[in-house]
Amino acid sequence: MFTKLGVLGTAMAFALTTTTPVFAGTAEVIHWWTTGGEAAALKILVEAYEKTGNTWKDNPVAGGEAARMVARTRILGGDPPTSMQWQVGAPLMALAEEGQLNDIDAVAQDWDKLLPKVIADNAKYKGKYVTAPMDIHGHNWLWGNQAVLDDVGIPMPKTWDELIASADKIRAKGYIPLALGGQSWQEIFVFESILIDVGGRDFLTKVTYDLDDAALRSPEMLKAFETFAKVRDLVDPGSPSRDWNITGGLLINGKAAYMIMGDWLKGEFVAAGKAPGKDIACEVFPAGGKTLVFGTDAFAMTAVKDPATREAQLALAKTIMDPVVQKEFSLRKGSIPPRLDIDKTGFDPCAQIAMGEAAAGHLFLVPDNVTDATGIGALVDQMTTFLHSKMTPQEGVTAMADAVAATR
Amino acid sequence: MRRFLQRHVSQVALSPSLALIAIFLYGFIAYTAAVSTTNSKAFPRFDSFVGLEQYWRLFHTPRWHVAFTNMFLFGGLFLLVTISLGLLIAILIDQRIRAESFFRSIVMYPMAMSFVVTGIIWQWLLNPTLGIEVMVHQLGFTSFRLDWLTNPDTVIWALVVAAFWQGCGLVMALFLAGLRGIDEDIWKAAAVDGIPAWRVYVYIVIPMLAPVFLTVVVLLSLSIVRAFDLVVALTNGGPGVSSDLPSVFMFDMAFRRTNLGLSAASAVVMLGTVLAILIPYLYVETRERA
Repeated sequence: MFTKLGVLGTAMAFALTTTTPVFAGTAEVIHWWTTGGEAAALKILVEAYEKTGNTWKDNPVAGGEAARMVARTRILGGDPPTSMQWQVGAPLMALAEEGQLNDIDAVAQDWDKLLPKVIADNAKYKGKYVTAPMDIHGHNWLWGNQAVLDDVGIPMPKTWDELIASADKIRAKGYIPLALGGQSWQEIFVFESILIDVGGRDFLTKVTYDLDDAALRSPEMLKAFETFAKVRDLVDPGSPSRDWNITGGLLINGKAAYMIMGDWLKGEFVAAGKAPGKDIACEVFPAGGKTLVFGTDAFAMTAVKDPATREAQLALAKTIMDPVVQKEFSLRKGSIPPRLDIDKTGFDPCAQIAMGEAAAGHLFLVPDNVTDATGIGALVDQMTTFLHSKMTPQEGVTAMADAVAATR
Repeated sequence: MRRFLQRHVSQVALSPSLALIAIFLYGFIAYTAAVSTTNSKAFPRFDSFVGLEQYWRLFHTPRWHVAFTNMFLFGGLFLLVTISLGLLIAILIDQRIRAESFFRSIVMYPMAMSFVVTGIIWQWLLNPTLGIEVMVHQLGFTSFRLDWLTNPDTVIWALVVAAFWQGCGLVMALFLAGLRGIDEDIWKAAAVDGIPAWRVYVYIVIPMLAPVFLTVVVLLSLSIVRAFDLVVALTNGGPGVSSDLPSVFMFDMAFRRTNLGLSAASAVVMLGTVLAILIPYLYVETRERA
């Protein structure tokens, strides 16, 4: 009894002495940011959030897949976290359609003006925001080891034809032309950049968003497969099944000239003491394709009912979109902020290029967040099967189109 | 009441576990079969009945054909290699050799490793840029190639080697126990008749080991169907999808591609395949012994 009173007394004293808003609450957040740079970035968000008087209840789960599964299970069990790291687009809409998300329009009145249209459109369900986007990561980046390029005496290529043409010179000097980790999620970045190269943004849309049968069987597609077949000769024998960070080591240590990988690769070479844009050249590839394929980490706002938790949730959404938080977070994470009004000072040259692409409306949401997972999955399966086989380009085109057609 | 209990004590004792098996085994098998007739995506939904459409879709998925063929290829090779070499090692160890327990331990030790650890060890050993191939090159044999893991045509052998390395100890131990159970008099009688040892093995001893063969085949078959962690750790299905197995396919469809309907259909086909092979085998074996 006495202890209970004691706790109550302390709580009351605390409530009286601090300048907490009336609705101070706790936000429980599930996320998978557990490694060095990620944790440092998250700390920015947590500290800013606790300054609003609310409490951040951390619930990290290692690995995106595991974290999403935990979140989904909690929701199904009727005990949702206040918020969780998620993606925009289809995965978010699947939750919203089940009635599992709250709208946060109370704090999102001006977000339409602040966010790129593609993010705004995919963060809303029936015209109301249900998530707050934290960062943007680009996928179709070409990285080049500057020392290797100088030694060979070539500039960064602008197109796939130029890249393939330079391969012989690179090989003659004893380097691997392209560092590639032969796992399908890495290979798709290469394939997507080839699709942009042969048919531009429209073609990429038709193939990866619409899974359009005519586009899948078109002459452009055949051309894409012809280029893709040449990738088989650009890589080293150790490529199949290799992890991305080990593959990154080939580029960073000067064993390979190029690598195509998302901008999280920056974390690897910054850790190795190489400067992005200087020691490791960067380019959205193909250059002039006006397309930066991207994914975004956004915090989905679950359908919590308790008023205090609801206030905590709104405060969280507001903190995530705070300009200072957006900038400081991305500086540590190696991403770029979704808000378009953040100034570029302090960002590395590659991030500045990405911010320019975002401002110019060149963002292209990763097909995983748009297209039916089974359909795009069949495409990815055939893409990787082709790369690791001796199939001719025409066989590859037919096999992919047939496999995708079977999922309809 | 007491008389009832006395008469039916075994039934009473078994009924809780029977009930649990009925619900958690057969109940969920039925549930999976039901899900396979729906168009369920991330969550099971029974309002989207599509009949056998998921099965049609499954058999029009090239990746499923690869996975399904691989199960038989991997299973057949694994059974053949593990049983024949396991038996051979058991026979060699049975020759009353010196330091028998030392050799037995060597063969048994890999069993202590989980499939995940096994997979990672062999991934390193078979990697052409840092494993055995590099070692042999450094010894001067630069034309040596060991690209099992990176060649879609041979990757299944890499799985077989790793699975054999891990499973051989168990098979050897079972056969050794069987060999030790064989009456010494048979050997003496054969020696009197002047029959060479290999003929005694082929015509007398190995046929006498039939019950051990049954145990070994059932145990290994289960590990073939279960094989999931090994593939994930060793190849993750690659290169491409060439080392995919039905269990990996099923997991991918259920949790990465959020297509529970298709995943359930593949699970049902897997179960059907296992039953089609095991039921006749068990039937014949139990018939012979009865």
